[in-house]
Amino acid sequence: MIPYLKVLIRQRLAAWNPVSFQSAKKSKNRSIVSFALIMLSMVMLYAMLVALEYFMFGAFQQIGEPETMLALAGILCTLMTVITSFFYVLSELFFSKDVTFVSALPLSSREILTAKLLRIWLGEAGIALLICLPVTVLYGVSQAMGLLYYLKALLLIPFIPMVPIAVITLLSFVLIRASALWKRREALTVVMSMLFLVVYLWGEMQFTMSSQKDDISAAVLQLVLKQKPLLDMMAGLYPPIRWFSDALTQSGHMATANWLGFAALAVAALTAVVLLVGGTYQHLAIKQNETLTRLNATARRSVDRHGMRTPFMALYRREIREIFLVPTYTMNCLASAVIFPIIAVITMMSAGKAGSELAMLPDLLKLVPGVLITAIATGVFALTSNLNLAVATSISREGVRHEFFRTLPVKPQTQLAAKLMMGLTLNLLSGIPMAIVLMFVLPAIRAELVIGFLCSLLFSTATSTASLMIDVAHPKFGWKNETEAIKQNGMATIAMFGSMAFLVVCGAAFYGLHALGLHYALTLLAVCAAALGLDVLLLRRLTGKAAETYILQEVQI
Amino acid sequence: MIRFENVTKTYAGGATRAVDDLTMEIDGGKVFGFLGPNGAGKTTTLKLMTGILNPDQGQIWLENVDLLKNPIDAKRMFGFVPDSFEMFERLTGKEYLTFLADLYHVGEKERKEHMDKYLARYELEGAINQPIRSFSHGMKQKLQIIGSLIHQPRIWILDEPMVGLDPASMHALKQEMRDYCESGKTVFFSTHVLDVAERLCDEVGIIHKGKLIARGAPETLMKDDMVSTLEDLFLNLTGKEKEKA
Repeated sequence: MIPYLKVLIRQRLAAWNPVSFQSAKKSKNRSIVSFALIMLSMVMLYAMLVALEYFMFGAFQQIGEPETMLALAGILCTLMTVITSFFYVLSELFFSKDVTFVSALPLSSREILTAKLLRIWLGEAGIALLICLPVTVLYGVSQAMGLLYYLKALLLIPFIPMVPIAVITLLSFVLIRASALWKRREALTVVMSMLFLVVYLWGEMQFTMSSQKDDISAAVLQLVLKQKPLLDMMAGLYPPIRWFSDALTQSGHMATANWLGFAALAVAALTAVVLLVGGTYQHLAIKQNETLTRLNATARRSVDRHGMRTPFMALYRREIREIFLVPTYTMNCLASAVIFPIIAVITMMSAGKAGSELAMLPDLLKLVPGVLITAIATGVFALTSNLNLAVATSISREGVRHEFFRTLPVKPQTQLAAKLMMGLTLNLLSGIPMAIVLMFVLPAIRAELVIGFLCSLLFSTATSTASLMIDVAHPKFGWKNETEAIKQNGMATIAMFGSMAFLVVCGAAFYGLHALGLHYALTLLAVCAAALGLDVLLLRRLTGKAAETYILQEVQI
Repeated sequence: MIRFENVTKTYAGGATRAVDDLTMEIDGGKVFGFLGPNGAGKTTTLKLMTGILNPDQGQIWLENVDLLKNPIDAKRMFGFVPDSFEMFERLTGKEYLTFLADLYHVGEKERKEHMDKYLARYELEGAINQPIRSFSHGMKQKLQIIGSLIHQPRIWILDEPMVGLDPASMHALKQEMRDYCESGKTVFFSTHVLDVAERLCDEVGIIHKGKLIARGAPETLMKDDMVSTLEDLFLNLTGKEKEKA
C-alpha cells in the first residue's frame, strides 16, 4: 500500500511543479512567470482570509471570548472540508482513471481505499493548517502562550478534516450505490450539485445579511454577536470541536485528555469507515466503471429519424448539447441561471420582514424615474449574462478536437456564428429566470424590467462577441479534463472581468451624460445605440479577421 | 486526384522539418499506401492534406481544388479517419453520424441508406444509440470509418485505420477500400502493416525524415530493389537512409 500512496502523493505534488505548466508553445520562463502569477493570486486570496480572521478575532476579544475564535476556526475547517471535498472524494474514489489499473495490482480493496483517503486527508490537512494557523498565532500572541501551545496546535489541526472526510466517504458510497445502476448518473450529479449550491448560498446569505454597518470592525462584531447562538449550536452539534479548543487553551491533564480525545476520535472515524466499507470499495468502483459498458448490452430502441439540418443548426445543436451533457460545463455555464433568481428571492424575502430596510423598496421604487429603473435593470441583466463562461471558452473546449473542426467543409464564420449563438442562448437562459422572478416580486416595475431585459441583450451581445474573440486568439487546447478547459482558463477569467469593466464604463457613461444635462431617456438611448454600434463592429470583426485566425489555429500541446 | 507541390512543414521554429519539400500526385481510382517509420512525417502529411495543419510552403490540390485557396470546397472532397478518437464522446453514435451528415449536406434518403449499409457492414446497429464513450476502441474506429463515408467523398483519407479492428472488420475495411477505388475514387491511407499495404495498394509511398524516398507500385519497387517483400524493401530503404544520416 505504501508504494501506491507514495505514487498518489507524488502525482499530486507534480501538479504544483512550475515545469508542469510548460507547453510546446510556452517557454520555460513564461511557464515560471505563469506559475508565479497564479501563486501571487493565491497569496492575495490567503491575505484576505488572514485579514478576515484578524478582524473576527478582534471582535471576539472585545466580547471577552478569544478562545471561541479557535472553536470557530475549527468549525470553519470542518465545514470547508465538507464543502470542498464532497465532489473531490467522489471523483477520487469512483471516477478516477486508475480504478481499473489499480484493480489489477496485488492490493486489497481496503488498502486501496486507505491509500486514497490518506492522500485526500493530507491535502485537506494542509488546507486546515492554512485556515487555522493565523487564528492560532493571534490567540497565542494575545494570551502570551508558550512553545508547547504552538506545538500542540501544529499537531492537532491536521486531525480536523478526518471526521468530515469519513462522513463524506460514507455519503459517497451511498450515492454511488444508488446511482451506479442508473443511466442518467451525470444528470444526478448536476441536480445534486445545484441543490448543494442552493443550500450553500442560502446558508451564506442568511449568515452575511445580518450585518449592514459600514464600519468593518463594528460589522464583524455585530455579525459575531448575532451569530453567536448559531456557533454555540454548531459546537453543540459537534462536541469534539470543544475538545479541540480546550486542548489548545487549557493546560495540564485536562488539555492532554482533550488533545488525545480529539485526535483519537478523528483517527477512529476514518479507520471505522475503512473497516466498514473498505471491503466493498473495489467492487463498487469497478461496477461504477462498468455502468457505461453495461449500457451497450441493453441497446435502447432505435429512433429512426434522419431529418436534415443546416450545418449552422447542426453545429449550434452540438454546442448546446455539450453544455447540457457535460456536468462541469452545465455547472459553470448555467449556475448563474440558478444563483441570481435565488439571490433575488432571498433578498425579497428579507424585504418582506418587518423592520428591514429592504421592506421600503417597493415604495422607494415609486420615487425613482422609470427610465432610471430600466437602466439599472439593463445593467443587472447584462451582468448576470456575463457570468456564464460558455462563449468565452467555446474554442478552448474544442481541445484537440479542434483538428476535427478544421477538416469540416463549413466556413469558419458559420462555425463561430454557431458558437456565438450558443453563448447568446445561454445568456438568455441565465437572464430569463432572473427577469421572471423580479417581475413576480416587483410587479410595479414590470414594464421597466422587460425593456431593461431587452436592452441588456445589446450589451451581452457585445461582451459575448468580445469574449469569443479573445478565446479565438488565445485558445487553451491542451486540457486533460473539462475543469481545466472552463474553470482553470485564465483568458476566460480575463474576458469575464473585462466584460464587467465594460459594463462599469457603460454605467459611468450613462451617469456622465445625465450629469451633463441629458434626459435619462435620451441618455439610455445614447448608451444603447453605442452598444448596438459596438455589436455591429465586433460582429464584423468576428466574421472577418477572427474567423481567419480561428481556422488557422493549430493544436500545439 | 491528390497533388502535393513542394509542401514543407516545420516544427520548433524551423528546427524540425516534419515534411520536407514533398511533391507527388496520386491519380483517382487508386489505393495509395503511405508508409514510413515512427516520426517520419506520415501523420503530419495527412494533417496537411486535411487542412488540420498549415504548410509553411507549397500547395495541395484535392480533386483540382486548391486546399489553401478554397478550403471549404476542398474539404467537401474528402472523408477523414484520424488515428485517435478525440471526438464527441457524450453524443450517441447516431447523433454523431447525423451531425456529420448535416455538415456535409447529405440528403435524408442518402444518409439513411449510407447509415444502414455501413452500420450493418461493421455490425454497429446494436450500439448506435448508445453514448460513444461507452464504445470500445474498435467500435469508435468503426464509427469514424462510417462517419468518413457518410457523404461518399471523392477522396478517402485514413490514418492507421486497421488499429483496434477485429479481423472481420479489418476484412470489411480492406474490401471497402478496394471497392471504393474501383468506383474511380481515391483512397489514401497510412499504415505500419506492410503485409496489408503489399496486398491492398496500387501504389505506395515511403516517407522518411519528412522526405519521400520511394514511390510506385509495390511489385515494381520490390523488383527494382531485388527483394521479395515490401517489408524487406522498407527496411532496406529506411536502413540506407539511416546509414546516410
